[in-house]
Amino acid sequence: MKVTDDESLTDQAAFEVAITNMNEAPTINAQTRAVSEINGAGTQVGAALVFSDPEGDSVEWSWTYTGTLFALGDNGQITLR
Amino acid sequence: MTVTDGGDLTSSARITINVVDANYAPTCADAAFSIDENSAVNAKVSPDTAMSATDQDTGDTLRWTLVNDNIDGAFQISSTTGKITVAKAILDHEARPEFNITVQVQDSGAGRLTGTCFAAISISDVNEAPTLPTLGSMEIREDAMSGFNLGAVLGSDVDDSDVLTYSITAGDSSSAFNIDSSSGNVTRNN
Repeated sequence: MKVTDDESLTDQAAFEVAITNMNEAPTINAQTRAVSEINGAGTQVGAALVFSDPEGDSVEWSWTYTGTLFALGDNGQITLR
Repeated sequence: MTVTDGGDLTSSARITINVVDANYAPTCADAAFSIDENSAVNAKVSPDTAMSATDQDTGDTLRWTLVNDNIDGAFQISSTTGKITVAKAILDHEARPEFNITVQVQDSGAGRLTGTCFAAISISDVNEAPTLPTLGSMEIREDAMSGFNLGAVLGSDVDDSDVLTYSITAGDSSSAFNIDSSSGNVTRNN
């Protein structure tokens, strides 16, 4: 910060502006996985689902699927029931 | 699918799971049949039913083969219908009363998967004629006593447990000789 009078004399001083982090939402995009019909319970349905979060936060997974074929793990991994 | 971070901020997206069709192996059922010995080539086993198979995959076509214990190639199976018939006219109850053949069914799907089962085929006995060897000449003195023993004729029969009965059918119009019906022993008559 700098101050100047009408005779062009100046003074300067520093000051800090602190930027407060605001939590931003994680992002998940549409994804596709495949699994063969001949597989036992616990078989992984492709790789774990992926997401991103600006803060690197961990996330909780949930879905609205109510069928009995698939299970969703804490890490976003879908398996066969 | 929804992810929620520690600050309760969320994001949602649709997840698609493709279930990939896989080929299942066919299975076939054991079956029992019978057929008369001495049956001709292409004779059908009884009952005249095909081997049966199941395959979970729709659209698979099945192909049948006899893969083991079809001794001497006696039988054949229709690759398309699964019906078993005689391949060689060599069936002989006395030599081999039963076959237990391993049957394979193969599908047309990925990997050409197979299933196996057994066809038990009982060879039924058919009565076969006895045989009598050509006899050499026998000699007897004209003054031989009644009851003089000329010897026995010995017939044979391929059937298990058949009892043979002997008799003189011709050439002895004066009844000069007698044959024992059970032993075949020929003796001078009165």
